[in-house]
Parts: sequence; structure tokens; C-alpha cells
Amino acid sequence: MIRAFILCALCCSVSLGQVTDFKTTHFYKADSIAERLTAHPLIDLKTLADKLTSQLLTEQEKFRAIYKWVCSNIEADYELVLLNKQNRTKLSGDQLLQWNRKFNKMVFEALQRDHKTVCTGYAYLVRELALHAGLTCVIVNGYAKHAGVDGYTLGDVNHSWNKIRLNGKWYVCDATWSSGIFNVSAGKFIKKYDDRYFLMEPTFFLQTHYTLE
Amino acid sequence: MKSKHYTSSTNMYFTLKVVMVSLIVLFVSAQVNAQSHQVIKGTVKTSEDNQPLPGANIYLKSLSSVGTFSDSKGEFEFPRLLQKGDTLVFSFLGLKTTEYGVPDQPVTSLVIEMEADLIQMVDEILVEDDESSRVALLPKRVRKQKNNR
Repeated sequence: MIRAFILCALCCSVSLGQVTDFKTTHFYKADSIAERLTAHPLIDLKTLADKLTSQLLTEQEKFRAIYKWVCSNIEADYELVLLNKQNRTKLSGDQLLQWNRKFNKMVFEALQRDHKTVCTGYAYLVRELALHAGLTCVIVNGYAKHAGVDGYTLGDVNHSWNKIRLNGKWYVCDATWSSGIFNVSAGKFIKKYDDRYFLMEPTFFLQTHYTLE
Repeated sequence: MKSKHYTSSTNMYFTLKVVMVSLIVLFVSAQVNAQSHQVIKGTVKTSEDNQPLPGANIYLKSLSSVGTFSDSKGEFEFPRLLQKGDTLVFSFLGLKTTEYGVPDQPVTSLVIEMEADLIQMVDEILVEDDESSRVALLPKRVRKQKNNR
């Protein structure tokens, strides 16, 4: 199992691209468009995707505008995180399925109403906006490595991020971790954009994430 | 003189023929056009509870700038005449994006049912205990922090 895991991780690192592939691309325009659309409502994702990307020519710039908007406008919802963790630990079988269904609704409602979510909500939003912009993007479920999970102590998947195809090559990014940190004692989310998780370097990705693929 | 008269009547006959053929072509093409282009209107509902869905974005796949939204009753009328081969895209946050291919025959009382986009929600976020450490949330840690709150 562990060997297969390591092999998979190595294969993954070889095939993935990284942000340095776009050394000549300046993301200023994409970032500025994302900033201009701060607090844009989330009722209609197609319109938002169009506004974010229609003035940009390259796939990497389009994706950058989407990623930057999501990271800058969505907050992690600690209450939802706790609620889901408790129920996922407590429930099983049909009850768990029922909970997942209910929680899905809650997450989407919170996302639309408050611009708050859990990590899969970030990944969902990135995927949907990218798809509306004509890009190929998927959600990946796996493990957050520095949550104390390692190859020997794998339990249920605990994290979601995205794989995005740009100019025929796959890249990974983690909008949840790019967006900021939740300060538990202050009870609030601190927005703090971290660029390391945007089109991650494969070595950095392997240090921080375990994928099931 | 006779021959001139003959030429003139031939020309007239030819012109008449051209006009007749043009009229027939126009009439037939108008008929074909009327048959193949149609107004698409209908209702968007959620498949889970069969309730009308207001605010769904509906746009033409080949030209996404052309579109509309479902109203408070979930009803819509697409703002452009459509024909076979056109595809409408229905999109709403939290529901699976649905496509509808316009058929050749006239469409009446179209109902689009949109399914919930059920994805496994997991929830790792970064929490900060102090400014120097960045650690991710663990179940044990959550319990501990929750008790402390």
C-alpha cells in the first residue's frame, strides 16, 4: 500500500506542471480584474466567470483571475467545519449518506449567502468557474499531509483541492490554503493570500498533500 | 421586326419564369425556416423535490453571451429563436450543470430538472493558534479547541 502510494506520488510529481512554466506571463491584469470584482454576488457563476476571464487571452491568466477571486472573496467557515467533522465521525451507512446530502445543501447555501465554505466548497467554486470559462478542471480528494496524516495513518480523506489543465498540461492548486487562516481564539478568518499553493511546484505539493490517484 | 417581337416576348417569358421561381424558393425557405426555428420556453425545476427553480442561468452553448434566467416561478423564454443542433446550458450553484439539445420537432411544455451536485464535503482548513505556527485542523485538536471556547 505504502509502496504504491509512493510510486503514485512520484508519477504524479513527474507529470505535473508548475507555476514556473509561465515565467513570461504577468498576472497583474488577471489579479486586477479579480480585485475589481470583489464581493461580486455568487448567484450566477456563469456571469462571474465571464466577467473574470473575457478580457484575458491565455488559459493561465483566465485561471489566475478565477483562483485569485475565489481566494480573496471566500472565507473558511469554522462552524461548518466542526459540524461536518462531528457528524462524519459519529455517523455511518445510510445516516452518513443522509448527512452528506443535507450538508451539501448547507454548504452551497452558506457559499451563496455568506461567501463562506469548507475546503470542498473552495474546490467546487474553482472548478465551476473554470468550467464556465471553458477550462478543464477537476476536484481532487485526498489528505492534507501537515494535518498529522502520513502514509502510515491514512483514514478518511480530509481535504480537497483542484487539478487544472492549462495548455495541455495538468497543474495542482489549493484555494483553501491560499485563502488564509482561521484564528480560533479570535473566532475569525484572517484573509492572507498564499501564492505557494497556486500551480504548486510538484515537490511542494508532495510535502503538503497526499493524493489517492 | 417579327424576330424582334419574338425576342422581346421570350425575354418577358424568361423574366416571369425567374420571378416565379424566386417566389417559390422564398416561400419554401420561409416555410422551412418557420418549421426549424422555434421559441423555446419552459420551466426549470429541482429534481430532488420537483420545485420550480428561480434564478437558473440559461445560455446558448455556442454563444454564451446569449441567455436568460428563470423567473420567480422557474419559468423562462429563451430570447432567441433556436433550431436543431443548438444546445442550451442550465446552470445553478450547487446543482449539476445540465444541457438540452433542441430537437427538430416543435417543443411544448419543456421541463428541465436539475440534479443536486452531490460531492463529498471534506473540511481541512488552516487554523492559527499563534502567529508563528501554522497547523492544520485535526479531530483531536478541534475537540480541544472547542472545549476551550
